[in-house]
Amino acid sequence: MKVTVDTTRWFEAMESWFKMCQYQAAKPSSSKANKLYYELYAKYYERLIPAIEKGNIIVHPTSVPTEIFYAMGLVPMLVTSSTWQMVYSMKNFDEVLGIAKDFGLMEETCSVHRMIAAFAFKGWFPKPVAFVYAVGGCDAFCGSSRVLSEFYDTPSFCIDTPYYYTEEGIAYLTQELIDMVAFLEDHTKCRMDWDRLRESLRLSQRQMELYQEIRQLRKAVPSPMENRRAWQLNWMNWIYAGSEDGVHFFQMLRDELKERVEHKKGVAPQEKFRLLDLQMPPAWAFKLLDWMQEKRGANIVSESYIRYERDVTLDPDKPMESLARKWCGGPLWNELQGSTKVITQVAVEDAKEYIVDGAIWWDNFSCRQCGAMRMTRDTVLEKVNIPVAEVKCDVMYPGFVSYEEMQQSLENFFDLLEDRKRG
Amino acid sequence: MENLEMVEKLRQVNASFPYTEPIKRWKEKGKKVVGWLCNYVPEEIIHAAGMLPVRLTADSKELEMPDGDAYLHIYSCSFTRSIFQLAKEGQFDFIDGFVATAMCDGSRRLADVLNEYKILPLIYTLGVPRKFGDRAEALYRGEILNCKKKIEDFFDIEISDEAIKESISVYNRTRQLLRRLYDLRKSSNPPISGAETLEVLNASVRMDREEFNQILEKLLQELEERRMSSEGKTRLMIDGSILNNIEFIKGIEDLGGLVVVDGVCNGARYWDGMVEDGFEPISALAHYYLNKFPCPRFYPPGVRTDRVLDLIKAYQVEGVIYEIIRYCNTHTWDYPILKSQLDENGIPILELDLEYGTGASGRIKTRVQAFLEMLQEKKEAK
Amino acid sequence: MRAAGVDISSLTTKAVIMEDDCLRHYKVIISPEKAETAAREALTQALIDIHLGWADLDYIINTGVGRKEISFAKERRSQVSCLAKGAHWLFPMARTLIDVGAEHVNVVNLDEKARVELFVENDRCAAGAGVFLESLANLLKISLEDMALEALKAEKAVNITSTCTIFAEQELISHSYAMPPVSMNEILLGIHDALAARVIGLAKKVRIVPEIVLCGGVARNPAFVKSLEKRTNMKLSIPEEPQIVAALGAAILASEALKAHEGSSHQ
Repeated sequence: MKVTVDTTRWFEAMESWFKMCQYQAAKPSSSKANKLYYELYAKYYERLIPAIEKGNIIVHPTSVPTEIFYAMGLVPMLVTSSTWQMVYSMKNFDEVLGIAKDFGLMEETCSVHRMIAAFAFKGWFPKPVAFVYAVGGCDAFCGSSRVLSEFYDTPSFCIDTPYYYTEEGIAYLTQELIDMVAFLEDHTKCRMDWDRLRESLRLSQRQMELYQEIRQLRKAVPSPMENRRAWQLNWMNWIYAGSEDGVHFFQMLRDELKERVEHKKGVAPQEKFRLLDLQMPPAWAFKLLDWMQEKRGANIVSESYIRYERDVTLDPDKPMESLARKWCGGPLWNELQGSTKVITQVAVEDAKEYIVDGAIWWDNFSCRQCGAMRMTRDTVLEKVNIPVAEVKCDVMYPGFVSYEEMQQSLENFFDLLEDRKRG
Repeated sequence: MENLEMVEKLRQVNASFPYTEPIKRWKEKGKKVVGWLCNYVPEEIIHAAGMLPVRLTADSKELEMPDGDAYLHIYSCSFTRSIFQLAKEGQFDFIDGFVATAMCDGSRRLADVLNEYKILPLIYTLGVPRKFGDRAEALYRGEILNCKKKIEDFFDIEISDEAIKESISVYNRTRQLLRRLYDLRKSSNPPISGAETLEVLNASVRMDREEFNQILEKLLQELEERRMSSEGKTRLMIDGSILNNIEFIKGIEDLGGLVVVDGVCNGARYWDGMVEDGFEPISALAHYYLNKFPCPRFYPPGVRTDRVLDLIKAYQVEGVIYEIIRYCNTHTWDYPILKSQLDENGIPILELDLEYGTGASGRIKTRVQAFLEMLQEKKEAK
Repeated sequence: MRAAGVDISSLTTKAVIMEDDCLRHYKVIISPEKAETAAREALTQALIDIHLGWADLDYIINTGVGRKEISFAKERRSQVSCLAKGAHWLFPMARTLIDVGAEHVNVVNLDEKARVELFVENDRCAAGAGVFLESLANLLKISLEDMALEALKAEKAVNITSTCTIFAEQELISHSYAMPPVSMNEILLGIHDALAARVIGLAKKVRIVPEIVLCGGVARNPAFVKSLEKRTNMKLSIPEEPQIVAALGAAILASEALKAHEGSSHQ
């Protein structure tokens, strides 16, 4: 199952995103943190592109602790965002999904992963010297990982993750990470610098603290953070984990938000609704988040799927174990991967602490989290008396539910919230 | 072709699904039933507890699932929604508790939702590793121990190692007998059809295991005498999502196919291998379950695809039919990898997407017929 | 004090006039193309009927599918809230509202104060709404009314499983040629039962708790009502004029707004 690798599209896409980041960074903006975000994003490409040209590593998904790679002098390429960037710059959604179908992949699975598979089938990702992937999160993640690994015929390491966050589970994952380092040392020419790793843990701890401070600040009324920012944070948290740049960014953002809170400044002209975000809004329609905020005063104050599910203390003397705990207790993990009670509990906690009016469940086509939807909706209604909107969408494919249709669903929901407020 | 008496007997068991006659008799004795949702639940533990392990499935028809749709979601596979529907309608009320695994997103959510809405009490969800090897086995062993403890707490009983060892013998006996049955299908004129085999497999998890073993022994005796010609039939393997509908296989076999082996979790993957003797029983169970013919969720995928290729060779399979339940992620993602392997080995494969419980609909028959004709031509060309 | 509510749908527009907490008059018209025109027409005709003019209305609220802005309405409220309000006014014990229109189906759970707790509406496909009955009646070349009357004569319903109108048509045809023959009345009841099953399927996403109010144009169909009552095993409360519940709710909300303004102006 060997593919012929053709990276023309990948490099084009990365170049165009690099330019976009530079452009955004150069634009005048009231938010220094926003500018820094794009600068750092561009900086990442500056490191990634030559690293890939030399022959480097690919990692999937986002939760794998990047501190490990950086401490080995490796620059990881993230599969999901590369996919998004390629499809977005080529704008050939239908063609890409068609490719997946032609290779025998059924349509009833997440479009993100179908697109990843399509690129794997066609060899449009760069061929890495080593491929590291984790199984867990959701079945589609595991699926696209396996396809990528099989079709690329590249030395691969699969990190198995535990279902339960228990001491046994953490011990298991810790060993997996240790094995992964050995694998990477064998297949790349890099060695683990354990001192550098210890230092990065110290910075990661600081970053987590800042992340939590930001979450606390968002509890303010009005909430100080833009709707689309949460995903920026998630990205930075992964790509710049354990780095000075990362800490710098989170500090800057925290300071900006703190100032807004002190001056009771929100982001919407008028904050009408405070919302919880369950699941992931469509990546191609972030303008919807802007519209919600600017035109309807609907602020997303917390994302139940991308927050730390528990407090984690990183022990520099036990780096792998600490990172295993950070992973399992961190964003986009236990809520997806664990028992349904995890997400329902987190949603109720968030709803109470953030004083929300309602929640949005982005009902992504074929998403495996759908099974948790009803239970979460009913629990949240019962315990916190807030309604949950189910907004039909597709996270990567604009052809399934249009922008206008999603907007209409949200409008209906805002109407309902409005009426509830009137009593 | 005369019917096999023992298959008839098992057909009668299946006829009263889900509350089969044997289950009814068991309950009338005041005993308890524990449901299980996936191949990686160690049945022996349930059996050792003195409970009747019964597999949670739906049956041979596509159901209307308004409750399944409403409580899970239309994006949950029809297997999970069908089970939910039956449970909500009270058809599983005879079940005292059930054990699930975190094998796939659909079934773990199903388990949580059944429990949350107090439809069926969930005793435990086992976390199952996705890799093989000592470390994975150690983790899984811990999970089996947890499962045992949870069952003990739930029913306020104790499960002894001795009892587990005895249960292992009983279940090993089944594995041995089913292996013998499958071995008969390797011959150029198998004495039992795919549809009849599924009847047997369906019944195995819906009745007292000791009684089933006895029937199976008698069946093997019957098969020694039976002669069936497969002249002109095409030897097929069925792989893919869980399959309980006999009509589906019958439809394929009526068109001239002969299903000689499978890779589905309620078929060859169910009985594969044996629990080893002479080891601490929980460790032996962990080793057995993790190393049997695996589910596609495991890494590396080569382990599974190699087994499939071995079976194709051993059973002289001419073509593979891969049926995928819509939204079954596990098999949706296995198919391109398996197909790639089979293409390289020159083995034709047909993909059928369907709903759980689909029989041999017009659409399926058309495609299967075309596939069989293609295989026939290929054979003649040689 | 007179308040009015207007509910604009793609097929019909409804206007309701309340006078001092009483339902004074209502009107149902076929919707002209533009929402503004539809609202104006419906209210004008309603006013003419009771010899009143626009100046006699103190507060107007509009509602309906889509977000139509109406120049003469003081407010726009969600259809779901208006439905809840209207249902509650007619049946104070209402906790579930099922609104089955030509293309649109809403199911709402409301509390004792008419506040919406949960709601769900049908998918884009219209097979689960009134249009389903209409297209099959057309196929059989009988009127909707006759189809319902004939259906009521049957004791049991034939099972029609297709959720798509096109496939249902095929099923109908095969039933009518079935051996042994199936009575036409049973087939007709089966059609109504199929729609009832779809509606129940939608309703299960929220809660089906009594008192259940059925409204919308299809609530006038006795065979549909029979099928739905059989499936829910509950007696349904049906308003005399089932199509005007949202408009009524809008009018009630307008009345309440008037009272609130009065109250504040007195302070």
